[in-house]
Amino acid sequence: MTNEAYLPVSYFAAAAGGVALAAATAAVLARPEREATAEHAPGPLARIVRRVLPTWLILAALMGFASVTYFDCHHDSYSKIVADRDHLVHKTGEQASAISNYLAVALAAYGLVLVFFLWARAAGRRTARRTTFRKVL
Amino acid sequence: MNGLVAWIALAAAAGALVAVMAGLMRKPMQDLLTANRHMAPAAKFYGRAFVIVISLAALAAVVGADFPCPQQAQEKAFMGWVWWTADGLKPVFWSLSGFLMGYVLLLTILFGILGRYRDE
Repeated sequence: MTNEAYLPVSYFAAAAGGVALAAATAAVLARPEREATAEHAPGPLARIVRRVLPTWLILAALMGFASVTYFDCHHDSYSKIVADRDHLVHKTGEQASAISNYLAVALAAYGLVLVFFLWARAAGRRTARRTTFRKVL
Repeated sequence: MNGLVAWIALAAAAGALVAVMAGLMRKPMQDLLTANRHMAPAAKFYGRAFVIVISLAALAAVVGADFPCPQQAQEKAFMGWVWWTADGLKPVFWSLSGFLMGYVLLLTILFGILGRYRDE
């Protein structure tokens, strides 16, 4: 395969791989996430929290993919970039690495969002119990 | 060819490290997350997300490893590839320790906020 052909193939394959990895991660976590947000949750908020995960992960993967540039001091034009196969291979690896890193950070950040969701739910239950107790008194 | 073997060794070492970390954290994390009924429904999510996060962190470090130029690769002896593998493990350790600390911080926040609620 020539470098001219390798560049677009590797570029779009990296993007597609990143989106697929994000979608697979969201699919693996879909069931536990539903369990975490289901019980007595405020309906619309639980739906938002559930639906935001795949979107969030796909955006993070694309952000990681787009954060890598092919230009540097020795490769400042398209002709220089496409002439260097090692550079192209290296950049594809860098894209895969950035996608994985961004996905890991996004997932950990989503864990923090879920903490606040669970907190809101626990606080809501407590308030509901107190109100019921006062009504009984 | 030697480069591919060295890269596979690097990936295997990173995978083994991830497996050991996941194994060590599994039980205490389950105990922590099932402490009360407010956290319990999310126990599976956090357990699974932890394994995915550290796997992605290790994957990022492994696929980001720099291969030597073809000229240098041909001149490398066995120990040259061992050093290359050890050098490749350095970012794996950094990445895993960073994400591990981050996740422990997340669990601390979770327990700090929800741990004070008691089951009634």
